[in-house]
Amino acid sequence: MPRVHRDRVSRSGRLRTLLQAASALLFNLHLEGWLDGTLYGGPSKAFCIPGLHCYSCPSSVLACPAGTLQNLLAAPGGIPLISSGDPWILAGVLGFVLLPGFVAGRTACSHICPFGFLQDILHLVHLPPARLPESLRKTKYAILALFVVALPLLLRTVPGGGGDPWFCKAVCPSGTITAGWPLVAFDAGRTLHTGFLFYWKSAIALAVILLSMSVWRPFCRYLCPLGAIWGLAGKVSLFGMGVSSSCTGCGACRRVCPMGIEIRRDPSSPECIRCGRCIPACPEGAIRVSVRPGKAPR
Amino acid sequence: MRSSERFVLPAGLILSILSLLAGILGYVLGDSGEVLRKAASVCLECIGIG
Amino acid sequence: MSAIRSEAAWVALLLVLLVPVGVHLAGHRSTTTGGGPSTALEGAAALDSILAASSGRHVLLNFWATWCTPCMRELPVLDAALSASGGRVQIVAIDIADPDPSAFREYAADAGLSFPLVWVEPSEAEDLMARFSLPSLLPVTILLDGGGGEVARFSGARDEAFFTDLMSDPGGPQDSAGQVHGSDHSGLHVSVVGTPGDPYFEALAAEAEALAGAGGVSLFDPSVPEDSSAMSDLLLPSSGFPYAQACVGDACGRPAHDPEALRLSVESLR
Repeated sequence: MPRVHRDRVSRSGRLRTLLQAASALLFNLHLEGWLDGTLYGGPSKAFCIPGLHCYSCPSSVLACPAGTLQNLLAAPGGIPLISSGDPWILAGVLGFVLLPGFVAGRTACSHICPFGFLQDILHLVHLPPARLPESLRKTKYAILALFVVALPLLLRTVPGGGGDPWFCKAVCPSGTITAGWPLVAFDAGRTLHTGFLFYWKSAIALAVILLSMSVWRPFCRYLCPLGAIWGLAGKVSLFGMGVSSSCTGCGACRRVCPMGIEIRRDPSSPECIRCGRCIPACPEGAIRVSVRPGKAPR
Repeated sequence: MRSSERFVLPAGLILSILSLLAGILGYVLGDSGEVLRKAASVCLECIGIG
Repeated sequence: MSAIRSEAAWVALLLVLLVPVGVHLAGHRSTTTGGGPSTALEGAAALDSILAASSGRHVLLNFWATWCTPCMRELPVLDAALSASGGRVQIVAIDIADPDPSAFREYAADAGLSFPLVWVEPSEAEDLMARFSLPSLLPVTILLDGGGGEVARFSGARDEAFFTDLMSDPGGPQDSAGQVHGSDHSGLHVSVVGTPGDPYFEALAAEAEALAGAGGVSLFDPSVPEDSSAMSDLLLPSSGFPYAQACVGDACGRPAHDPEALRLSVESLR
């Protein structure tokens, strides 16, 4: 059994958890929304958070970057850069999304993202681990390309209208759990009509919730388009993980990894969410955060 | 291949900083209608209630 | 074999996730209007004047925005349902969430809708949201009765069949998605035609309301062009004012010129 440096686990792990909790609270200051079913409409809603949290959540005071991107691309009038007149905002959101990725890869996934935090909490319940095919991790790139970019931009079925935000509309479990369910519950059947779309998305959300207890962070592994972007940028990011030559290949890092990877195989893996749990878990102390301009050595 | 890999990070950082600045500039100069208006109300079917 | 299956697992997952897109495309029958300019007004004052001119008729308020694609899908649907309703309901579609009117104007220029579109600026939008207790959701449709009281409201887009049913019997019971405040006199509807202020007209209107409830009465002033055209759509006689005509479903009695005659007419229909 590899020796675990418990002091360092406690300190860095506690700090990360504190940051996750603080972020979740900071992005949800409109707590009264949960009492009266209203949404916050103030000026801060113009800004995105570095993580996945639905702007339609009653307590949310900021906007989701994935949702904002889709809505910008779906704007009526065709290609946003040419006709909708909002190239500046689109550029701003793209820059906001890409910058953390190029600086620190998927670090926001483990330290800030509220939906990642929720999955971490759900995984405190340990159901027997499901063995899912590794290739499922590719799905998130296809989701990014299709549901976040191509379909909102290109699928126009309403004359005079725009596209639809297909990731929000048909997939996102974060939106279902934090926005869809509360809004439908508050309405209590008075004015809303719930049909196929709502039940389909609810099924996805329930599946993610249940799976989170068996597989750690299934949404982050298989579905998250934001993680897909940050993961790709993280392959060359300024800060990353480094594995030194004192690594013996014992696999202790993999046993504690929320993403189920062995960091020594690819220190700049697009799956790594830079949580740092592997650092104190390594009996040789071979793993560290490193600043590396360009690809990691070995 | 290696030289183009080393090029990606600086290019990515510069482009994303410039994009972010462009967005801030656009926001300051008043082009905030698009994002703000979406924040005030929510399209139900767009978040999967339908 | 299992290697192929597990390698392709992500494709299978992707195809499953694409099901709603397929359902959307399969169920999509684009209701179009044939284009042409629509009546496009700006400002809450324009809305108020439409409401004032529609007094006595049911009014359907539809709140939308140009960036809300399901809302845009619903507008031609409302138009199609309106033609089927025979003019009993006045529709007004209010663009309540576009801070800038340019997208609104562009849309209205070729929307081809037969009801007025009204754009309101953000501060007026806030007032309207308070006035009608609107949630921050789109689209929202509110049905008002002839007296301006709320009969029902719906959040989220509905289809043509829904609106056709709603507008062909605006005072009647709604489905489970709506809330009924109007009368439930089993489909009795009374049309009262005359000049407001005329004591005979007022007496007929009062008796009609007592018999059919506030939600079951429609008032028409033949000197108002919209009311006059609505009357011809509903085949209401254009002479012999004031009178009240009672209908239960498609069966209508003869025009009654005094409250007693109206009561007899309603009894004969039951």
